[in-house]
Amino acid sequence: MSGNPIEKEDLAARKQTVRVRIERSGNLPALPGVIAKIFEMVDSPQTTAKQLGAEISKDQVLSAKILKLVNSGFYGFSQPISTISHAVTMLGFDSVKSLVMSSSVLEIMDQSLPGLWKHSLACARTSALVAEHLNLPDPEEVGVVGLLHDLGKVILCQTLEVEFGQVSRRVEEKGMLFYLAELEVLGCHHGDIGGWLLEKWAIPAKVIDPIVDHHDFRPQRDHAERTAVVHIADILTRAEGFGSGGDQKIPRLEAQALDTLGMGLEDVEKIMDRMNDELSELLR
Amino acid sequence: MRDISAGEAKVGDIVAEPLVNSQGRVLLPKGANLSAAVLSRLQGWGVHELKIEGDAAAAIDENSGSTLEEELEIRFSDWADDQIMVQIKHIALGHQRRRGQVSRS
Repeated sequence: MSGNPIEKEDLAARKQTVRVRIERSGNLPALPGVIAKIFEMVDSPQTTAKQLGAEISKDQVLSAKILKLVNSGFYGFSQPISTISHAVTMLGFDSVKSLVMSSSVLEIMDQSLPGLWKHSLACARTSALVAEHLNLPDPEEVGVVGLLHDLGKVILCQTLEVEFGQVSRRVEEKGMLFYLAELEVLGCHHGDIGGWLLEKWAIPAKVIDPIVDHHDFRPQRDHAERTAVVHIADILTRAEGFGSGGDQKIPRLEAQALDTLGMGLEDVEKIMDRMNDELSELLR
Repeated sequence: MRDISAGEAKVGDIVAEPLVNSQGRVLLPKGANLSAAVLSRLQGWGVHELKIEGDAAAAIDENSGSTLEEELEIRFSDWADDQIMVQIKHIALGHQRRRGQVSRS
């Protein structure tokens, strides 16, 4: 099917139509001014951790949200982090950028799909656990990718209500996976949709690509390692029953994702044991 | 103690009698806790049956009315033939059962 050029073209056109409709809907979350300023500072090589911390601290609500998230147990820091500049030093600039964004996105999450917030937080921690287990660079940022992997579901719910209803009905009545119902209704899925918003917000490809591809893992694509991590973390989070991704079923774990990371079932078991130990009380 | 087939064995099951191969070599001692890694090797070792702790009635009791376990079965129902997914389900089931035991005690 994917080899047929006409169908491919048709699919691309359907995707583009959905993208335009979402972007014109007026309901797409905008980046608040303070966040735009923080993004600018993060991207400037002249900015110091102190300056960045000071800028974030000007917004008390944002600061409180960031500290709450950093100390929520999902980053696994052994000592409590009480100041924004400490958070900036511990996490690094790129992670702070993602975190600032996450904190504004998470708020709207549970309003859209009950259980999505828990699923996202558990997937965040699991992504970081996999990254730590494999000694991959930047486990915190990998965690943020896990946190945002289902962002597209929120956007779909907020911008295309009718289609969101059609997707939800298919999920409920036919017992379909959410992303397969999205593909049927829209010709694209929440990975694509989340990617469009993040692209608009000028988030780097190393964060966007794994979100776009988490239901379609291909080892030859850019950032395949991270995509594999988030693909695996999403499935393990569903297997352990933390929160809800909006459907009853679990997508199949691609063996190639394990191969790409050099992981075996023993590694999967160790990670699931840690998830069970760390997250059960917090999230079940 | 009860006899089960290798296919029925789950992560977290406890071996009730030493598991021995045809040469008499002990593959798993009595009391060993089955892990996903061990489960994936049972077939390669030529093990078809084994004895595990617990009686059949307890197994039925564990399964009956357990909505969480039923939910888990539904979640994985499309992947009964996928070895990786079956193992992941067994691990999750083991966690669920252990949590159940903790909350009952």
